[in-house]
Amino acid sequence: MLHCIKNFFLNLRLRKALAEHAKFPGETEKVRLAQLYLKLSLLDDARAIIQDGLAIYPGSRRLREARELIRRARALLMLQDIEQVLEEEPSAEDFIRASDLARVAGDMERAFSYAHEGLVAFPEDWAVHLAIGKLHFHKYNSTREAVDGIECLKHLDKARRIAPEEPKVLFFLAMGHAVQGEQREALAVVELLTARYPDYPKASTLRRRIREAITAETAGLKGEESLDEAASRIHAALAPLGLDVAAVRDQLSLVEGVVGWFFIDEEGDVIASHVEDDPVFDLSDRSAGLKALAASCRFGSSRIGIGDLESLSLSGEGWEIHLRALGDLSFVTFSKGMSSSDVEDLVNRIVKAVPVACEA
Amino acid sequence: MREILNELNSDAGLVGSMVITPDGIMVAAALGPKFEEDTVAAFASALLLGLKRSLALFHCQGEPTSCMLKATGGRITFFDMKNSYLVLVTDSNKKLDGSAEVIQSAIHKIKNRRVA
Repeated sequence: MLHCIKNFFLNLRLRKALAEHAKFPGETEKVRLAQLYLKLSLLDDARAIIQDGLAIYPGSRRLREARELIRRARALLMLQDIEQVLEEEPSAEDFIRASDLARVAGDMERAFSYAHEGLVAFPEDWAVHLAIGKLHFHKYNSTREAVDGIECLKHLDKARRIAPEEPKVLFFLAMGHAVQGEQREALAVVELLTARYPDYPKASTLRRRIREAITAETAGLKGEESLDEAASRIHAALAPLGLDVAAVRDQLSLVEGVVGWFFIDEEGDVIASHVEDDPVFDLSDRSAGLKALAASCRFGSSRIGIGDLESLSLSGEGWEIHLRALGDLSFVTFSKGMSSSDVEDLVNRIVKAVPVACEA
Repeated sequence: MREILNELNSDAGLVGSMVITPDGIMVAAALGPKFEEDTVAAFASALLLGLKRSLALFHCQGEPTSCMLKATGGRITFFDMKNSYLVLVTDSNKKLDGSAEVIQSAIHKIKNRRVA
């Protein structure tokens, strides 16, 4: 009864809106008319009036917002249909479709829920991993939460391992890397994509943008510095920590088993270092490895509720890498034949005991 | 698998534990109410994948057998189970030994578990 009364008044308003639109088919009249069509569930009419409006006023924010509302309403309707299919014998495609519709309808929680249900039922389906990767990609774009960036790349990597030639996966993987600032990784993927699928839509544009970003990054890098400048920079970085690079070198030279050590900043750039030749680690070109190590720690233990990073130890058969956080810097040691505790004790001694040798 | 992890948590005095695949996908978790499983899984996988990448760039011979991250409010320790990793969360002052019987027993149970 209430529904009938509501519809009666909506139809009255619709008649009035139609008359106003016939008199003056402006932006406001079109939006009002579309909203009423939407309330009466006349989605095709609503869409037609908005498309008509956008053809006349292509830059209209209000018309674009109304189009988005119609899209969401349509997605919700289609979702109701597909939910029945999910009750019976759903395929991976059904879960993906439901997830995509929920995303378009603006319900991200539901979108993730359908995609994860799909993952449970079809754990090795590349399209399901792609769908989850895309959801995290969309979420990362709006929140910039590191967890979404990581989850995005994790699922897209998995999708790529299952379907290495799939262009959609390669495209989103390149996008995932690019949006997180990993331009070189993004370039490697997009070049593979364009080599195999030269006509893949938007791939060339993406490749151009990635190349531009790399050029901008390279242009921003620091130029060569003199030895004096380097010494001064090292001193400035270590002195507030009560450390002096020469004293650290002296201390560590007495210990057998330390193959190399580095002071690095948050980005993994080396502040000071000492390296010996050894077959266990190749530290001759350490820049990329240290940056990857720094990036691993950057996600932040505080995000999971265990506070700030103090140290990280990684051990294999006869080797150990130890990272000790020192404010904005980290002290990284590479050793062999030493136990995890030995390395930790050694680093603790150095960090606590080494005085500043040449305080200004 | 969650039962094995719950038992391990209780026997070894852990805050929580989980199993993840080498590519960082969570298999099972018993982390307790303090932690969000997805966030911890994302953290663990990011750390693991980043460290592996770093090791590859240093041309390091051999796979890591364990990894321990110490923070002001807790520790996370990873143990290699060959086809997956056991991830243990403890208080910051509790140091775990991978050869401890309780941990080895849990690893054995997880690796030999037949139920899908």
